[in-house]
Amino acid sequence: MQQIDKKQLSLLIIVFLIGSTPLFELGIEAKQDAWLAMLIAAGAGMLLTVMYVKLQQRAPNAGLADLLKYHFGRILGGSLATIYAIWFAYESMRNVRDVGELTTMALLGLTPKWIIMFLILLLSAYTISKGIEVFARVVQLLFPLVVLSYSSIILLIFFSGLVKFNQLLPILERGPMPVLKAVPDLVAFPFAQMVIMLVFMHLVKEKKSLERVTYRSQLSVSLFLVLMNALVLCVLGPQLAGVTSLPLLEVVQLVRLANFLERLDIIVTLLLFIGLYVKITTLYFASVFTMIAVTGLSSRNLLFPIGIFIYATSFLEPNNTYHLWIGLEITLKIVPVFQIAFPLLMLVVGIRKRYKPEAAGGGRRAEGVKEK
Amino acid sequence: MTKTSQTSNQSALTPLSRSLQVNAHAIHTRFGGSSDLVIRLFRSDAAPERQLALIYIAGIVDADVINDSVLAPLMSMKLPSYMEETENLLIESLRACVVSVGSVKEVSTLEEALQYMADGMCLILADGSPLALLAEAGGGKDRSVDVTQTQTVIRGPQRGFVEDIGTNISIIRRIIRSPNLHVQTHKIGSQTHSNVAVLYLHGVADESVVKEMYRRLAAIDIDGVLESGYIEEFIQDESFTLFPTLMNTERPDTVAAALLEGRVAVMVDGTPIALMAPITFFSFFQSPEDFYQRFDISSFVRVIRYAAYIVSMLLPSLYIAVTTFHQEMLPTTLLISLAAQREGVPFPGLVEALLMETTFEVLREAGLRMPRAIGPAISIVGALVLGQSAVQAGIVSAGMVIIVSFTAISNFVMPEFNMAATSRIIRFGIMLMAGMLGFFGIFISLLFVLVHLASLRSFGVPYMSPIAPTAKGSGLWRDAFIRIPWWAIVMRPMDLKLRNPRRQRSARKPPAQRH
Amino acid sequence: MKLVRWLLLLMILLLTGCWNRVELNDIAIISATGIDWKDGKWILSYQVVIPRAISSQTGESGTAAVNVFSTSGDNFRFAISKASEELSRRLYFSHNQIVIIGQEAARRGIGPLMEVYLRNHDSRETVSVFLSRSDARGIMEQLIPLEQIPGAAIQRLIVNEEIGSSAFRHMAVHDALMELLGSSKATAIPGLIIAGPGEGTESVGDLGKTTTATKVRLKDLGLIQGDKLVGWVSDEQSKGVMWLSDHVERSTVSFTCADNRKGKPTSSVRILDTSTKLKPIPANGKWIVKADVEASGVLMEYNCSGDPSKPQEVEKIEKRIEEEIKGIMTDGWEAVRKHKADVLGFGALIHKRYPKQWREASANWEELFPQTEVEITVKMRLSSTGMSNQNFKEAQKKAES
Repeated sequence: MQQIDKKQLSLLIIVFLIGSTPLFELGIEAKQDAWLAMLIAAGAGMLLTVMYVKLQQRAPNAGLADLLKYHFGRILGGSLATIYAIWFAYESMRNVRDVGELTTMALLGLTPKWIIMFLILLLSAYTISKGIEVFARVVQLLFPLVVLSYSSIILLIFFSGLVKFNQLLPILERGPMPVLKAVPDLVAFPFAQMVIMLVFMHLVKEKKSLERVTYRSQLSVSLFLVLMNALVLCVLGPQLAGVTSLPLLEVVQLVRLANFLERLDIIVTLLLFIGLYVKITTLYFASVFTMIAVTGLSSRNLLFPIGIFIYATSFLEPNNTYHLWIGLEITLKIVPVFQIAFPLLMLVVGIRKRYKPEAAGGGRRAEGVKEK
Repeated sequence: MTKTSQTSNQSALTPLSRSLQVNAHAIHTRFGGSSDLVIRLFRSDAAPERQLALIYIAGIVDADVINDSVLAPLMSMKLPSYMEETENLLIESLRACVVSVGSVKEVSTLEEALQYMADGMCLILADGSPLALLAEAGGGKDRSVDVTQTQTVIRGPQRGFVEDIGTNISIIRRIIRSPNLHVQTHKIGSQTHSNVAVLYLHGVADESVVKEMYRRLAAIDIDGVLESGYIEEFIQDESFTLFPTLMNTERPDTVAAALLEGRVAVMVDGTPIALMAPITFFSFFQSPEDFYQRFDISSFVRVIRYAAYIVSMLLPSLYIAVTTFHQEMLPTTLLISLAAQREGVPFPGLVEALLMETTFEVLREAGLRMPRAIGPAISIVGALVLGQSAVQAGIVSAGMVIIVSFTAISNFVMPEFNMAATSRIIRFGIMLMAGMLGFFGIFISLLFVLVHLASLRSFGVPYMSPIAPTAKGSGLWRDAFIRIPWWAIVMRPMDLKLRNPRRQRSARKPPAQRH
Repeated sequence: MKLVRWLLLLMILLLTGCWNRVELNDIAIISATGIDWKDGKWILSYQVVIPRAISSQTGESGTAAVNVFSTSGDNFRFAISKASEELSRRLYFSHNQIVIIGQEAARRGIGPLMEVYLRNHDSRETVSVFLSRSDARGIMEQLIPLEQIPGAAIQRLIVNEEIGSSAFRHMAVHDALMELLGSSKATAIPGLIIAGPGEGTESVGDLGKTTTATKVRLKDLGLIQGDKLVGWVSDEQSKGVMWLSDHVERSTVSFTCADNRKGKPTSSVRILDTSTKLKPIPANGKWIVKADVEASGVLMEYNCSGDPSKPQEVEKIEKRIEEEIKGIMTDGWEAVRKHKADVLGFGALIHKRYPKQWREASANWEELFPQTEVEITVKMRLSSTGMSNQNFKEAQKKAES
């Protein structure tokens, strides 16, 4: 069984949650208070994470599928886990499609999407075939790059004098309602996506520090996302931010420094690709791991079927409008079932008696299967 | 450990005959009547009735040793009378009292005798005795210790290894004067029987790595080993990778430094190149000189090296991507001057770049293989004829020539040839991807490389440590990118799981006394 | 090994198509775009750079560095697509420096232009926008001394102006977008004219002389309300507008020797730092906007009798400058008020400060805006009076006595 250390989990959480989130101006329905909505959602997300961690601590060696099994019994839990696996694959597909859309919009307008999406998915499949340990290392290698790029972008935006803080005024123009209305969607995406970490948390070697590491990394990433959200608002203003489909790209296009550093949007696009790659791979991994635990098949047997499933479904949406509409209007209304309802149910139900020794023990039969 | 070679033909062991004639004849036939086989028959004063023979291969033995320490005492020996009785006692007594050579051996089979002879020992046979005596007389002409040819430094020791493994080990022994320096010699190659020595610092190196090294070496079954490259390909963790997972050097100080860090070194007879393992990606960016020059200079140079490596891998691809896909990234004036250069160039950017890169690789290889006297001529042809006239004729753009030249120069910055070579090969792949998908292509190929790098291991040690996974403890993370001062390097590389990870007890520099 | 085979297959697939690849000698780099409205159609003009004429190596003297041509159509992108009928290369807009909107086109509305910029990735929002009193194409045909590419030259002109005297402000498309989408829905764009009596500077030969018959210069500020041009204000008024909306960075103000702006302004001061703070105050359904200006600068030229080395005199000078600035700003305000275009961003200001009241006011802001009162207070601080103390003539007189 390949394991990861706490530092790797923390970086995985950070890069995963960043993903492509800064790309969109989330919560723009609340106009200039989008960042407030984001902040509240981040708080709610933290509460959810506390719940996830508590669940994990009941059975420190169980992945999501086993947790479901321990709580709901073998058949119900197993089928629930299968649904989760499909959901993970679906979310992975959404990100694959994001890569395709982003590329055709901002980078390569004439290149067919299938080749772009195929390449990024192939990369993910290759990573997964190498195992979680290698993926954790890749994230570790990418992390400094992400930090460096984002901080230099933020610095450049500040230096080029684009930031006007009064764009955030007036605060709560139409009272708290519009802000609160925007919150549930923001919880569902990106913060409550932390539920995916239930698949990976049990792989951490240092079980004791799991709690602290998770909270700390989620806190920092939440603050970062709120900051980015506010920054885009400060530069574009609520109206323009609401009109453009890729606000961050728009912001970076405006950066002009020293007549030389002025066309940085391609760098940002690549940065977003890093986030998307990590997201795709994590979700793909989650799907594969959950299916392994359910079916007992080996990773080799599941890698390609799930990959083909993701690839095929990514073509179902006819265009960008549909993609965003399904993503922002439909998906976000359904996913709280996975993110909140089931975990909450688990918390209430508690581990069934017959699984208790197994959960506490940590020796699991499924582990033997997972190993090779 | 001769076992490896002997186990294979154990069944065919032939005991030595009592007759000297038979034995000498057998040896003669076994060597195929080779003309450098010397069979010297003689009689001794002490036992005039018994014929003796001294057999050796000329050229690999030291003639002085043969004459002064073996032949002369043998011919003029005086043995106490009680020692002459039995046939075997003669050999015994020769060993005990006559042959004044440090290393001697008694053997009873023909194969053993042949084996040691091929190693440079001389064989002493006595008529009527089924035992033979072998005396170490190795020698012969070899290159003497010389200045390093390939890995040069400005500050630091200048001597390099030679082809003789004994000399090489002795050089290391002279650097690390400690009984903890353990040397284990194996014989590899069913025909060449090359000596392969494993060196490590006992109490520092990870014993499991040493054991793993023995295991992998023992599993090698090949007819001959001419260079450490043979061994490297057998014992590396992953075959299908462009990245070297063992480091090689011809510098004794580099080997000594590696041993002190807790790595294991492998030396092969017949080559001045030694291998070191386990090794990480970042070690290839460290030149031995980094540790001799002041730390600030070294740190600066090390950062430059990383930059140069990235440049040599990516520059042509970036140029292709920017000029054929993302023209908006260029400053307007630069774009216009590049566009002016490209007017009339017949090839697409990708083809132009591939053409120039291939040309350069050909020139470089030609420069390496050419006799030294013609070398400069090649560079003149390369630079003037190909570069300048190609631009003037409008076949390639001047910008491309600049890009290719700078890429090439950057590649020479790398201290390790085999790591530098990876960037040359990967460059072509990325160029193709860049020519098809622009920055997206570069991004995808780089991530593939990154995932591959993260999956590599060198003797169990992750290739990208200490960055991924991060090593516990401080110091080493920094040592990957910059060099910290010597007094601050308290720990050995943590990723090696060493038995004794400390180099110094604490980080302290003798305080300067001010007067 | 399986992977290698897959990769090979992929390579072959990829090699069959290089969808987005375009060589540098297949694109026509555009440095300026012009928009005109004529006979019920949009006319788009392009200034295409000819790299060969610019490059120092192959530079051929005698040919202009740019070529101007136009296409027309019912909408922008269709007009652009028609360019392929008369040009051997693909139009490349990413390096476009300026957009010039002809007066007629601006009166028609700049909405379609903004739409194109928002929707397309190759059109960048950092492009500078100008209005033109005549048709845009005429301005694009002008060659400009010192510079090779007229489009880039005009952009440098406005940047130089912005930090030099700040009578105009550099307007990028995104600035215009933000203001037009903001609370006031109005913006101001600098205008360009061809000044001079001559036929025009359109051939390289004209640049061979020491003086050119005509030149492109900045003149007047166009006010846009909604998306249409509603009027022009003069250069002097424009400076007032800039000062009111806090867009002055550095400037030169000339002032008189007497109080209350009487007499000829014979002296001048270089304003090195200035800021304007606007504060809206509601007053019976109307609004009062308080403008507090703080400026500091150095004395550049002083042709009055007083001795600027004396503190009292300096205070006097500061007061005169304050009056001058106040006068400029009032002029600017009156001009804008006449056109009922809130290019000063008062609406946005009120929106941010008084969101509740703004909801009522925004409905008929166009009516309310001209009724707004502006109260200007200026605080000038002379940080240096230069290297001499008295005026030269005064010193002469003193020497005589």
